[in-house]
Amino acid sequence: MGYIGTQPVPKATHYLEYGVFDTPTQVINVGSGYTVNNISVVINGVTLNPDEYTATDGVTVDLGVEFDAGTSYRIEEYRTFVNAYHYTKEEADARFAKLSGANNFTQMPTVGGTPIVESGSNSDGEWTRWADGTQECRIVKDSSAFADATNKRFSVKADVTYPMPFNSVPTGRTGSVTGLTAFSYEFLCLSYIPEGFAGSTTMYASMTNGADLPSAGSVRFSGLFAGKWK
Amino acid sequence: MLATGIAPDYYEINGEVVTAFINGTAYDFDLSSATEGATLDSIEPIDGVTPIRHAVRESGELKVVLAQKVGAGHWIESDYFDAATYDPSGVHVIFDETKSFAGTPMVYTKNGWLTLSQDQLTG
Repeated sequence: MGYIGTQPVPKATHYLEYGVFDTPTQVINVGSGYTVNNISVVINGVTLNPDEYTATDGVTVDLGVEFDAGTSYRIEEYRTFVNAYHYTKEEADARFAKLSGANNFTQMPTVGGTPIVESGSNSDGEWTRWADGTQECRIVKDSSAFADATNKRFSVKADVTYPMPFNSVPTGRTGSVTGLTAFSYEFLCLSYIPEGFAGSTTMYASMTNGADLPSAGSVRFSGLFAGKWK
Repeated sequence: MLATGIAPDYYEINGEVVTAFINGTAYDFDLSSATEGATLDSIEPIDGVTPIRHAVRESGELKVVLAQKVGAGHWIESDYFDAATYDPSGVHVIFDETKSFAGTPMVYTKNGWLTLSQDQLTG
């Protein structure tokens, strides 16, 4: 609808309660109540002055005298207009996820209170966990714990603690070992031993090199473990 | 102080006795008998938690590596510091805000999980 001049802005809603008395009536009950000193009372088309009725309890209007059945009445009240609560396009774009295009969430969405994805790192390694209970840990550990120099075969081990606890023994493997260039080896076997649910394990590298146990050096293990955190 | 996902709730330190609180129970570790150069690496986990990661006496000074539990985010261990400055309610590990991560960064203290605000992270 077009307007000439400034478009009017609605400021109030007009409330009406009206009808015809079925029986002789002096007091009108206003079903939804009213604000005192904010109503107009109309009887048979004539607006009453405020001193011609009593309306002080917010519920009833006492006309002072009894009107006959068949009398028409109307109670009018102008109530405060409630603005529709809505967002501008810019506000909506900033507030709601988009079905297409990039979304940048300031907080991780949750499933039952658990973030869909959490990740981090600490002194024991890196980790990622998902709301479905899956967890992955990545560990790098240096070790110089050479042992078992028998039959030209020796091993080195690294005791590690997972950067985040699993709730059951994870599956995993010692992904790689570096630092062996200081001494040659002919065969390398990588393994790990899960030690309970507590969150620790031992990674082993067993080697044969036709020589004696290295007297010095350090080996860097890397391990990848996957399991459940809940 | 290491930043780890598996650590005692907090510690109390009296002289060379370290008390680790694990799941509400206190466990005392008297390290005063450690001789010069002696290292301690093999404390068995309690309820899956290793109470003390490492200890060594160097030049008469006892150096102990403890751990503080952390959650999401990238956390780094602190350098050695004087045991007298250890506060069970404090944060002794370091948050690295330069790396991206998912979740809410948290660290555990005697008072429970502490969620770090953006101001605390960058402050």
